[in-house]
Amino acid sequence: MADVAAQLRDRRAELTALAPDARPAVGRAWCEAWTDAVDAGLRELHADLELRRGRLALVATGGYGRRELCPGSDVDLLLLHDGVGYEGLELAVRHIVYPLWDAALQVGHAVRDHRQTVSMALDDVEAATALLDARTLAGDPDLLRGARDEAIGKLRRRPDRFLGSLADADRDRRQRVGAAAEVLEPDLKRGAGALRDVQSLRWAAAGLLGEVALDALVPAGYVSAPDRGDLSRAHERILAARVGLHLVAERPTDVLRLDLQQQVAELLGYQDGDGVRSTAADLLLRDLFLAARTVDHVHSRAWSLMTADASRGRRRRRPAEVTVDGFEVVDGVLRLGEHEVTGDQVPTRLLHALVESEAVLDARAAATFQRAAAARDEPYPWDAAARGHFLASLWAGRSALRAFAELDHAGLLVALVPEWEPLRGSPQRNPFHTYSLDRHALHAATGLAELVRNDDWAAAALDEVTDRDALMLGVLLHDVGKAHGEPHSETGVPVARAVVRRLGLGEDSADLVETMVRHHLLLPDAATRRDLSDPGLVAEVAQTIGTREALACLHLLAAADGAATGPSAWSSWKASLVSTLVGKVRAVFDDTPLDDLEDSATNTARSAQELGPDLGIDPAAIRAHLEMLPAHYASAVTPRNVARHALLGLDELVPGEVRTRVTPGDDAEGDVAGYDALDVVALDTPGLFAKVAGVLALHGGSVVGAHAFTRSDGVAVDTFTVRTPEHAVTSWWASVEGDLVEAVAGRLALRARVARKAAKAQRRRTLSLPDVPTTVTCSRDASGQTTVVDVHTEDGVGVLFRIVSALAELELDIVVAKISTVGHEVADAFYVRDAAGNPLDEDHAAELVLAVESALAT
Amino acid sequence: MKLVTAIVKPHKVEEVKDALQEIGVPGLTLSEVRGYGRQRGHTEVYRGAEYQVEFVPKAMLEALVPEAQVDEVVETIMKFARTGQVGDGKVFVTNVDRIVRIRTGEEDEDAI
Repeated sequence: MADVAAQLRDRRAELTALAPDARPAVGRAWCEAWTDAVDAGLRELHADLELRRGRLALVATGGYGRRELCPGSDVDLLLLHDGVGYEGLELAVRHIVYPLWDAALQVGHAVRDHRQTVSMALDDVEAATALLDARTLAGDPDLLRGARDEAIGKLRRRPDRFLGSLADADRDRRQRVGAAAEVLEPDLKRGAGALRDVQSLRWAAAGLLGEVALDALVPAGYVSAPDRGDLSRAHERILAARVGLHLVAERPTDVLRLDLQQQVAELLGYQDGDGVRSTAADLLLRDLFLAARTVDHVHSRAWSLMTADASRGRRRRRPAEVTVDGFEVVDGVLRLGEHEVTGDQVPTRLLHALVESEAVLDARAAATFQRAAAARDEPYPWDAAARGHFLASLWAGRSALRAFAELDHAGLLVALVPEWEPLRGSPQRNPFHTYSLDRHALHAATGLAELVRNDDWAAAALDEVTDRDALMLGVLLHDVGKAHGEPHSETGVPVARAVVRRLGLGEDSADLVETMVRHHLLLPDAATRRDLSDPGLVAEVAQTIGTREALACLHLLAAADGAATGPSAWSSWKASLVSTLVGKVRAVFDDTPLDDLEDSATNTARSAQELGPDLGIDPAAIRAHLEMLPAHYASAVTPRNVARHALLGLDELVPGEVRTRVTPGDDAEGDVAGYDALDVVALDTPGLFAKVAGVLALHGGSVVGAHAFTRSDGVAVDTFTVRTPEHAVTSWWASVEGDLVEAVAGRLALRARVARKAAKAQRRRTLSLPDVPTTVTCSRDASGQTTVVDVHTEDGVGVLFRIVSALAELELDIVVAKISTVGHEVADAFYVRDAAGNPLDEDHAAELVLAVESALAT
Repeated sequence: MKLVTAIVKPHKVEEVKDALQEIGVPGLTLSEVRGYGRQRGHTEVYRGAEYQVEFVPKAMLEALVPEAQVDEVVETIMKFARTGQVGDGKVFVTNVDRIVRIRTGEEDEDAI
């Protein structure tokens, strides 16, 4: 027995070694080799087993039964017995299962007789499907045959019940896990379009037809013959990727993580190519997306038909028939009927019909369309009706996503819009994008429709847009340049214009779409990295955008794009910043004088004084406070903020003293929900900002924005907008404020402590995320009063602290800080002045760049 | 000084306790715990679902032991807690920095 355990251990070590000569091809061949090894070991153990009475069969179930043991798969084993008796069973388990445990294999074992096996299968869907895939390894094959036949017979008597359980399990799984066909880190086992979907088809075949085989679905008409072939190929591709993933990750994970993708791709034989988006990982992901889409497509279509048949069998219902624009839809499947397929109108009418009926495309129809599209010399022409159908489909919202997937799968989307081809299945391999390029575009476009239906601000913005066709196309095409190289806001312009022209829209529409493509990042970038209270900035943005209509389009695009990108790309903070900027730009277009600095300052000053009594401070004191500050202060800060600063700075401060106040984001006073405001008042020193950043870094908080002013009496009044860590305890702020007092008094070794924390975080990080190079640039702000320092770098503990410490070393005064983090990239902007209060000269700026680059290089 | 921890089957506790007394281990702490290992908490003749993992009741014994005696204690526990069937448990040894007897203030080895 010790032999078998050692044998299995050795063979596994051989097979999991990553050197190519030591093991079979990564894919089904690997699974077969490992399955053979486990089979051989178990047969040897079974042969050695001496039972006093009865029969015992060793049965492989589940994935093991299918001979698809991946490196991380469990060995699922059933000891099927008849008349063996309890003592014999104990002996059998010790003899057969213990060596597997000793070989450190993950084993799922069960010991059952015929009756228990059948009853388990009828009670538990997972047990039933495990049994469907079972095969006898050793012992009398009649034991399994008998149990399996009886179980299948009973399941077939109520096909709607069994199929219903399978369908429910499928639906839950697919919703929970996300689509392997479009998601950046696909789940290769459980994702929609992944391995489980293939298995569910086999199990459904058993329930309906009595045969656990995909082939059985073809004569029954649920899967077409060509689809059967495509499905096989897709299956093998995904299986190979799963084997590769298990080998590289050295653990039973099924999610193809970003940082493992390149290694897995190379293991599977992919190589880096030239051209845009062609690293080995990109090529692998693209193949996987397309494979998963095939599986998804066949799965949906077959299940529609099978579910209908299963319920019909029971109740003898007539098929549900509906006609949409001349297409027949029977049981959720759209068929051709009497249609002439070569008509130029057909693809867009088909799209529209699919959206209306929420149906999937019949196999024969899809094949016919594919042939017709391939036979054409030229793409389909467009007319007003076609354009109407296409755009109406996008405006239908999220429910149209499946229709577009069906259309794309039949090759018709590319036949309509050839410019779509490079986007198909193209991955976006960075931590903040969720979807492939084509799916991102469709999610953004349909997301726009959802936005204007659900959000008031969006509906209002839509009212300002006359050319709604151009708006929708602009959203659909905003990232089309990514398939052609960076900067994609430039490379996308000619492609987008070509599409607009193709669809038959005029030059004005093309111009609007061009504006959207070229400037789709302008609003989010300006809002998150520039000082919104700077009228020069607002004027620049207004001039670039040009019209109210374009502004509304870009605002809607920013929101739709953000929502379709991923949670770390768009947040309530970002949304509110963009809204603020849009409001100011709109004021420019309306020719309402952008509140003269003085006017808005006066308003703020007045409001602040009115608030005084509420906050326990004399309005005269607020006035005195304001008089010590530049005019710019009152136009950059809210009235409440002014009052808070005045209160904190009321009594004289001594060196090394700091006063703080926290206004929680969910307070009625709070500025933006979910983000707290920290007011800091102290005698100004260049290092003050850095100390705040450092203390927050130590406690896991992050600064998302800050502004800092100095009174003529030398007192700094700063406000930091802070995102507290996710699971912060209620005393979190108290600890932070306490440490801040220590830091300002010089009693905290901030640099050392932050460095220590950063080192620990670095060790825990996952490897090989794409590198973010550090870039530091200086420019003058729009008003010429300060120097704007833009810093792009990789996120990490204490990054802000290091940047700001470098600025402090150069005796720079930070007036405004805009901090934005997307995924693991940081884009910060600092408005600075030198010690004399002027923007930086060239030499000083060069020193600054040197200092910051060096601080970030460690 | 070391802390010897043993997770054993509940019905073996008396035997282990007696055996440890015999070799001069003067004190023990007993906790009732639950756990599982590679075998997922399943007994040998298990007929439930393969994918389920269960906690099984176990007993945890802890004893402070001078370094010189550790090997003897571990061997004794192994001998008397073993049934040969899955779920017998584990013994592990950790370092102890300091021990104090509360009543008298004796420290370290004198406190064992």
